[in-house]
Parts: sequence; C-alpha cells; structure tokens
Amino acid sequence: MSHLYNKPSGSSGNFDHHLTRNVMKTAQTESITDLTRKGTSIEFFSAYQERDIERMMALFDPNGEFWLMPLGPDPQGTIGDLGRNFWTGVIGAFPDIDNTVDKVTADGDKIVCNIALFGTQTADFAGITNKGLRFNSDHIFIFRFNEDDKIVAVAIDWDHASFQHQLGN
Amino acid sequence: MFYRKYQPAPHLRPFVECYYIWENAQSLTQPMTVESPPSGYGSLVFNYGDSYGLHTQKRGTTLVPTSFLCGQSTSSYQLELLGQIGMVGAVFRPAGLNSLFGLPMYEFTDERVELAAVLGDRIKTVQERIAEPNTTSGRIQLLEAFLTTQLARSGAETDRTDYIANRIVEQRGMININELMDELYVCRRQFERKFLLKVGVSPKYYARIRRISYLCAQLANQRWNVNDWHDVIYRAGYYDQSHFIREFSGFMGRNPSLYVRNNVELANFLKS
Repeated sequence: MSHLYNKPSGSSGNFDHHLTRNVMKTAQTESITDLTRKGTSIEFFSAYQERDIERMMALFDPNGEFWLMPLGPDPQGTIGDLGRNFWTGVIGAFPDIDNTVDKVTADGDKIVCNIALFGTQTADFAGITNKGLRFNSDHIFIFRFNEDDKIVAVAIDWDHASFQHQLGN
Repeated sequence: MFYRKYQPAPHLRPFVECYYIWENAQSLTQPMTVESPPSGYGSLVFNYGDSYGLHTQKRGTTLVPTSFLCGQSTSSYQLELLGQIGMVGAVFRPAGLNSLFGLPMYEFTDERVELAAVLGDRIKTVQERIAEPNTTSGRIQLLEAFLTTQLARSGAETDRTDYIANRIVEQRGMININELMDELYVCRRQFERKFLLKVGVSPKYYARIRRISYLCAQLANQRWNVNDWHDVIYRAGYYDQSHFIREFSGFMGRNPSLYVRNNVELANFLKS
C-alpha cells in the first residue's frame, strides 16, 4: 500500500553551488505547482465551511486513500466511499462545523494544512455520545497530489483524546 | 560584511517596511551559514552576487532563485553562502505584498518563487539593471522606482486587514484576536479569509509568528546573553516556561538554551 508518507520530501540533498539552469527550471516548475495545489487545498476548506460535500468531493480522486490517523496505522478506505461518509457524518452531527486555516505549506508532492476545526455536537457521532458540547481542535490535513494536481490521498491527524474529552466522553 | 536597512519613501510606507542591502567586501572562500528566525514579513529580493542555497527542516537544501518573492516563513531557515554576497531587498508590511501586487499570500507561505514567474517579464528589466555595477543607493532607487510604478499601476490602498495586521506587529503579537474582532465589529469568517489571503496565515498564527520574531530580535539585541529566562518569557507574553519552550522549539527547530548558545544569525557577523 502506498502511503502518504512514503515519498521523500523533495529535499535535494547537499547544496551544489553549480546547479544547472535546468535544475533551476525544474525547481521553479515545482514551486508554481505548489502554489496551484495550495489553492486547491484552500478551496477544500472553503467548501467544508459551506458544508458542501459535492464541492469537497470534486477535488479528489474518489479511489484515493482516506486515512484518519488516530484510528490506525493505515488508510481505512477510499475518499469516494469512506471519506464521503465520514464528512457527511461530521456535518450531520456538527451542523455548525467551521474551520480556520492557520497555514498551508508544501512538502514534496503533499500539501500540509494546519487547521482549527470547531463545532457543536447535536447527534451521536462515531461512538461519541451527544451531550450538546462544543469542540475546538487543531487538525492537520495532508493532501497528496498526482501530476494532474488532483488529490489522490488524504490523511487527517488530531488529538482524539482531547476531542472526546471536550465533547464530554 | 555590510548589511544596512533603508527607509522607504513616504508614499510607499503603508506597504513597505524597509529596504536592505547585504554585501561582503571579500569573497567567501569557505561556505558560510546564516540563519534567520521567522520575521512576520514577506519580501522581494534581487541577488547580484553569487547564487546561494536555502536550508529548511522540511525541504533540506535548495538553490534560491536569482530574484524571488517570499511570503511568511513559519520556521527558521538557513542561507548557505559562498563567494560574493550581493543582494538588495524590499521588506513588506504584513499585508503589503498583497495590497500592492494582489497576490494570494497563502500560496507564498514558506516559498521563494522566482519573480518572473509571479510578476511576468516586466521584472526582467529591473533585474538586469540591479545586476549592473551600481552604488548602494542606485540599487535602492531602482527598487523604489519599480514599487512606485507598481503602486501607480495598481492604485493600491490599505484596508482594515492591513490595519489589523500592523496592529499585531505593533503589539508584538501579544494581542487577543477575538477581542480585536469584537472591537472592530468584523465577521470572524470573512476576516479570517481576508487575513489568510492578504498575510498568508491566520491572524492567531500570525500573532504567534510575531511574538517569536520579537523575542528573537530582543535576544539578538542583547547578543544572546540571557540572565533571567523568566523575565524574557514574561516580557514576550508566554503563559509559562513549558508554553514558551514548546513555541520556541516549534518555530526555531531547537530549544531556547541551545539556540542562544549556537545560533548563526546575521547579527553574529556584523559589528555591534
């Protein structure tokens, strides 16, 4: 299984003071690609704020890997299947769910997004009993892109114990 | 080693914090590493010396474009220099690059992007003229003339986001963002979106950058001689020692005591 973290992070190793113009050009292309991918990532969080599942899903390859990192060491399913169900469940249980994008940075073929997610629980969710409480939790979303700048994997990490605790569980 | 800052003309001050020139009289025969904490400012930089490398924790070492635009840095970085140092830069107020050039600054966070790729071919003439033999003030004038033209072309004006970002700078990051939003009657979601677009990070994250930046500037001013860490921590507005160490290590890549002992910031190489 090819994981988000399998690829090296784009480091070029030791600095060679006489890098050729071609290498410069390649680095420049990578840089512009990063800008495009950051824009796509921002679009995801904008759609998430609007709770617009279809807009969110349009950014992904539905067969891409979906990985909730606190719940296991491997991706648990596909974006088109598990991802869609997960976000539909989140939006259903936390109808005022919202986010703040703290920063978006590139790391090789991945875009790493540091996000604050917050919302109020109105229904049981993933084994967490609804007590009508509000959470505010830092999350890291890692999107991996293919050469066509489509998101082909997503991994999400957060402090699950703190999340449960805030919701009274 | 020659490093000097210059004030911009009054009409550019709402957007430009300062200009700088960095040169060395004698060519470096051995590689030299100079590190910098995140400053909270983006910049345009033109290199007329030898090419040099940039080392970050995330990307390792990469070659820096000859002239580039960089957005907010979210961690410390190191420049790896050899040969002739020669660069002139414009340092922008937190929302200044967006106001002048209309760029979505979140795209440029932790990036150095070649200027021609961002601004098109019109920058090439400026690049060429800066690279020609010139005086320090001549290069600053070229840079300022370019920015003045850009100001006229864009009709840029500052707005509420510029004001808020500048206030975060003035208050050294020690500011309650929620209270600030209430005070200014701004809608949180719109305000955060605009701030991300204009500055490159969220308002709260920007306040964290400014706080660490101010603290590092204070440490450099006292040549990294720290008699009382509690006083440093208190003055920078951290809750307690563990909060401070976590923040410092997160931004700087090593703990504070290690940093004050072995950092290679530019101030180490300049006469005090």
